[in-house]
Amino acid sequence: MFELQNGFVKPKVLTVIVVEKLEKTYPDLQRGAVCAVRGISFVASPGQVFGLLGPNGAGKTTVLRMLSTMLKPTGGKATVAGFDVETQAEDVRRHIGFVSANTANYDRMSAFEMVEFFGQLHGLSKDELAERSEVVFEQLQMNDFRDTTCGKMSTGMKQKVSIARAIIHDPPVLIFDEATVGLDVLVGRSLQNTVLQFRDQGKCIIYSTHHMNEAERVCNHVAIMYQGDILAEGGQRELCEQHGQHSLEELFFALIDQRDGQENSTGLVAEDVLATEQQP
Amino acid sequence: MNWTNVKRIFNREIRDQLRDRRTLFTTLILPLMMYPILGLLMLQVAQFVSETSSKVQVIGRDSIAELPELFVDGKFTSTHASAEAKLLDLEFSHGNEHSTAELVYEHAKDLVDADEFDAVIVFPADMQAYILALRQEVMTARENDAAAVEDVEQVGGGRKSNDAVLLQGPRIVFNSVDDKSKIAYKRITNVLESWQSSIKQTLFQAGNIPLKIADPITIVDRDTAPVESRNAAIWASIIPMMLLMWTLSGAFYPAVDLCAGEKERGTLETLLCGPAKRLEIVAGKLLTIMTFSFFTSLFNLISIAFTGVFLIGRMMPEGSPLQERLGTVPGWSILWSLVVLVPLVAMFSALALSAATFARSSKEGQYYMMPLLILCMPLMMISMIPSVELDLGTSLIPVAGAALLLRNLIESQFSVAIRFALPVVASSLFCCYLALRWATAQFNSESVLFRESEKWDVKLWLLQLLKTPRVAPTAGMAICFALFVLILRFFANFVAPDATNWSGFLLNNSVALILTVGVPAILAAVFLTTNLWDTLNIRSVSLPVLVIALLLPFSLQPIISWFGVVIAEIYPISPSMLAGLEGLEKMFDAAPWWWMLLAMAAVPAVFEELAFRGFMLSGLRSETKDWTAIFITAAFFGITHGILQQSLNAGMIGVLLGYVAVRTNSIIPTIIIHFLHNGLVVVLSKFSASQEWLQTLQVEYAEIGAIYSPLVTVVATIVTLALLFALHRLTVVQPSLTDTA
Repeated sequence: MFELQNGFVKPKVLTVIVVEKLEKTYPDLQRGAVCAVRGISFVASPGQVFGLLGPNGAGKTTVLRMLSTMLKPTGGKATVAGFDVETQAEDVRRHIGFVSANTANYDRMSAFEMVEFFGQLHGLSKDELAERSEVVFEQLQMNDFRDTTCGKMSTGMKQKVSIARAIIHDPPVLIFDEATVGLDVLVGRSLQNTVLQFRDQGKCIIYSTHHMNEAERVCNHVAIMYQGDILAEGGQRELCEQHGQHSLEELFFALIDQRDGQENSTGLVAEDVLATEQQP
Repeated sequence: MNWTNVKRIFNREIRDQLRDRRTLFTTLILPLMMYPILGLLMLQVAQFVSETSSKVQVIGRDSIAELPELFVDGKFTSTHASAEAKLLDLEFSHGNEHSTAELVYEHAKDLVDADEFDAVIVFPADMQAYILALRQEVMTARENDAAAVEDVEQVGGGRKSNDAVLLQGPRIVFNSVDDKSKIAYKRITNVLESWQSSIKQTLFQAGNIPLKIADPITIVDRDTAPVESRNAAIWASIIPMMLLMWTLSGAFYPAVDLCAGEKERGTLETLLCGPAKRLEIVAGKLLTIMTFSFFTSLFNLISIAFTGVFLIGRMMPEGSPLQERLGTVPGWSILWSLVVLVPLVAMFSALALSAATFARSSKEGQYYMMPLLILCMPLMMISMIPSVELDLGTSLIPVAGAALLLRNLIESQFSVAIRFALPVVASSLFCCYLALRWATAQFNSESVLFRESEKWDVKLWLLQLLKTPRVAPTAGMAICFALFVLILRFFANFVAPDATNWSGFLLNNSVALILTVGVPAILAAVFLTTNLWDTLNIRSVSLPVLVIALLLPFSLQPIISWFGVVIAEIYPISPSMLAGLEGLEKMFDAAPWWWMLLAMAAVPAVFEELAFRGFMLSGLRSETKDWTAIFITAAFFGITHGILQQSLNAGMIGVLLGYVAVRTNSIIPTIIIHFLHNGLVVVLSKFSASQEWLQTLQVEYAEIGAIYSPLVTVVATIVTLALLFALHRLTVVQPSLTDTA
């Protein structure tokens, strides 16, 4: 079931990400305990783009941060590439690449230096690094600005660097946290195409966004998050058919209206909505 | 920890920082430029002061024409004028237009006040006549031989007492607040003093008396300080502070960029989900900050030495008046300071790392620099206080010890420096360890790392605090409470009326304690939490625990009195404080013992325990480890005792009380221990002198009085440990309130 590759164990399993009743509550000075993720479960497999859809403050980023071991879950369990996010955090981090909305590059380093630094941290040897960076720079068409410092790049270029440093170690799992925010239409489109390329390479991709048309194009499986819960999850077409909606966007609003209606009748306070809006 | 990762992170950070011109400028280039510029500036000022000429008006030159020559060609004669006096621009006036001497002086004062002249010399009109008369009388006396000296005194003394104002000789009118005027005054005095002795000489010659009678004895002084130390004194007091400030800011600037800056730009997130462990990230960043801080201080030292040796050293020849004024600037020997600076670099770096990690943005990070500097400033400035010296006590105070050691190194007092280098380095390293623990904790705290989206709203927060009381106070509440108590106690000192007798003193003390410590604790527990008893840790305990609580204070007594000796050795009690304590003791002679027991044992035991082992410990325990909570509580408990020696003692007892409170989950045993401990001190101080059996347990010790003999202390220590062990076996630590909720 396992084989050795690049010096570490690489599992060959059908489901790469397993999330079970994952929960995150954190203390807040102003509102007491705030529950950002309320016991959600899902699985994701290789070759799948798993879309995590929801408005701002739905808890998407918190889920992704837990999957990438930056935050510790307060309840439930999650494994990434067969490793537990809590107990085997380092192994998890070796098997993921994380791309966030703020391109998060070091302004005073060049594209190549960025990629080189993260490659080294991942323990790639000099030869491996040279080989991989050639592939990555070619694939993302970054050779033109290889030696430009990130501070002088356009947002699109920066996002490419960000993707490059996330895939330098060829991880089986890629996490995109609202990666197209702030990109213009053209660059956004090319990023989406890149994601599809990764899917075809057999990577498992978690893709969070609040743009429904983007999700429609990229994701083959979606989960709609709202106030820390997953309201619906499944293949795009099945979901729409199931709820009798024509598009993902309509489905999304229908589900949210339904949820808000339930809440008003069950007497959940409005403060709770506010609470989920400002989670980390 | 994987050191290859640490090295990779370190290399990247260094490369990144070296590409940042602002950091480079503030940490490396500025210190290199600062000292030469500062040195040149000081030199310029000194030179300006010593080379500008002073404008002086001389009134009544004619009235000294027959006295030894003072002026030639509108200047002082070269026999009296030193090099400095050549810078005096003289202008002569008769002063005849004023009818009386008083008016002449008024006129002179006006001239100086109006800044027309830096100083005015007035020679009284009848001064010459007086001296000549004096000379005549000496000569006559010489002819009459016998009673010569006596007569002279009679003549001089008699006339002097009659019209002293007019016969004081030349008068210098100047303004001591005005620097230029002061310099003019000094220059003139030198010349006139020389002239005075030549008048003296003529008089003595006239009387045929040997000149040496005028100064029959000479006072010779010998300064034991080596020449280098004497000359370095000014620099030795300023340089340590500057060096420490630079070391701190050399750590702070890169720290803000490395931590708060990365948070702001989102790169920290990237690093956190990379393969490096958090500890490796912390280590890599800390090493980078340390490198910058180290090079900042190294560059400072090099710059100081360079300035001293090449700039000021060359321009200021040995023995010149300039050198006297400025002293010798320390040379290359200053590089010795690195020995002291390295542990400080580590400490400041860890502190800066923690503060910068806490900040959400670089801007917020910069805000934390000032409070940190202000906290360290009084400690750094200790080297500027001449009376504070490096000894075991001061060497253990963080930062201050280092500043004093630096002062000694710059003064070339190596023997003293070497003796106390170890405690200074040890205390710095200990603080460095604490700061490092803090920094690592910060980096492991989610609420600190992902603080960027939290919006602080004071109103909302206060409402939340009061509207939704929680099960247990938070650590923040506990710390705020402790600070509040400290402030209250500080002000209580001013408000409380001065006690003149024992009843007033005891009443003051008890009321102050209840109002500043007890009442706030109870109010805080009532308003901020849901369960008063649990928050204040008031729970029943088993009988064996009570027995242990009853026995512990007795076995503790000898240990604590020995601890008191150690403290008094390291930080001796000042004589004035000793006198004060004696006064108090005398006052208490009249007080009945039960009164003292109530005011000095019962009241503190109940209310201090409610506040410290009650509210504060509950709050801290809900968010920190038990031992951290115990030590922080003990530290605040110590600080509330005011006097340093008492604070250390109370701090130690506080640790024990905290431990007992955590083990038993109640303050009832700690109230008993606290009461019996204080009570024993009261009772023993009142009755020990009349109890012979007690004296057999004790030995005399210096000024402190009776302490327990070593044998008794060893036995007591064994008993104490046995009791604590029993307590440990009997109890199980209960989870803190928030964990059970």
